[in-house]
Amino acid sequence: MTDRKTDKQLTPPDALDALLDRAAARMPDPLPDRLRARLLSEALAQMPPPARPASASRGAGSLARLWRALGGAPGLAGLTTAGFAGLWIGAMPPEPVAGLSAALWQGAALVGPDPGGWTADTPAGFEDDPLLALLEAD
Amino acid sequence: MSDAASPSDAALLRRYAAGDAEAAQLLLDRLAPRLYRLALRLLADPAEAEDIVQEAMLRLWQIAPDWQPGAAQPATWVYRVAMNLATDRLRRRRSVALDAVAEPADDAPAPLQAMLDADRERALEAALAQLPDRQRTAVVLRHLEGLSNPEIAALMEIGVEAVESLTARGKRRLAELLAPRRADLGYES
Repeated sequence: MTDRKTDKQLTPPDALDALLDRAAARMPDPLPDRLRARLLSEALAQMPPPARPASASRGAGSLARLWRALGGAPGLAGLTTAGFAGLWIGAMPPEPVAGLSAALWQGAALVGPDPGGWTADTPAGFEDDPLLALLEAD
Repeated sequence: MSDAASPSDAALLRRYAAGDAEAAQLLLDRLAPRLYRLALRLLADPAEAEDIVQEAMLRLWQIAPDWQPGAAQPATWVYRVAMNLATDRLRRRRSVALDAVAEPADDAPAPLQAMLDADRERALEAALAQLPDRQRTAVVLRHLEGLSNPEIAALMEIGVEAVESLTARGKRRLAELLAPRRADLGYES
């Protein structure tokens, strides 16, 4: 009643201010639960995938990169085995291989090129070839 | 330090962009209720207000990976998006005549003062709906949301003087719209 009486005495702009103040002070409607659930679901659907965790050996620098390039422990084991095998074959060649090498060397000496065998007669039709005449003159 | 205790909106948005689901929840609970209240006050329609909040938040999530630090506050940005979306809807909507606002039911058990207050609130809502879009937005932001003129100027991307002019004209128009119902609303005997 008192409120109503006071309102009657207000000029319209004051009454409007009071009306706006009351509307502003009114408890706002809370966000509906189903809307919140929908918003959250949409947020998670739009969310980029989590960043990959940093590698434990990231700080090791070039050594770590080399280690990864070699394929880690399995790669290094294979590389070591191949290295030892190469050394062994070089230092102590097996017998059949040594014999084969000697035979190859002998054969190579036998089939040595004889420059005389490479001379050939002038092909038919090229007897008067000026280029051949020039070469023979030399 | 303070970032860990109460992370800023921008920090939460960065965490969200890095795939942090907890940041999504925190940011949602911080921004969505305010957006909903703003949309509800601008549109006076819960279903439309929900649409506005959903669209505005979706745009925020989508821009998160490309968010430029220092460009704007996420709250200001998403508030502006919601405001623009609500304004678009207002433009499409047919204006509601003030006289068409439902009167309170005569047999309502509420006390006289509560009925009168509810009636005034409805009348104010209908009068706000009659205002031109920019006047309504300025009045709602200033007098219902309690934002300062510079804040409103930033949101509406206009000068502070323009905000003052819009709110003043809006209030004058509201008073004119409500004047014929002064007696109904208990301002005259």
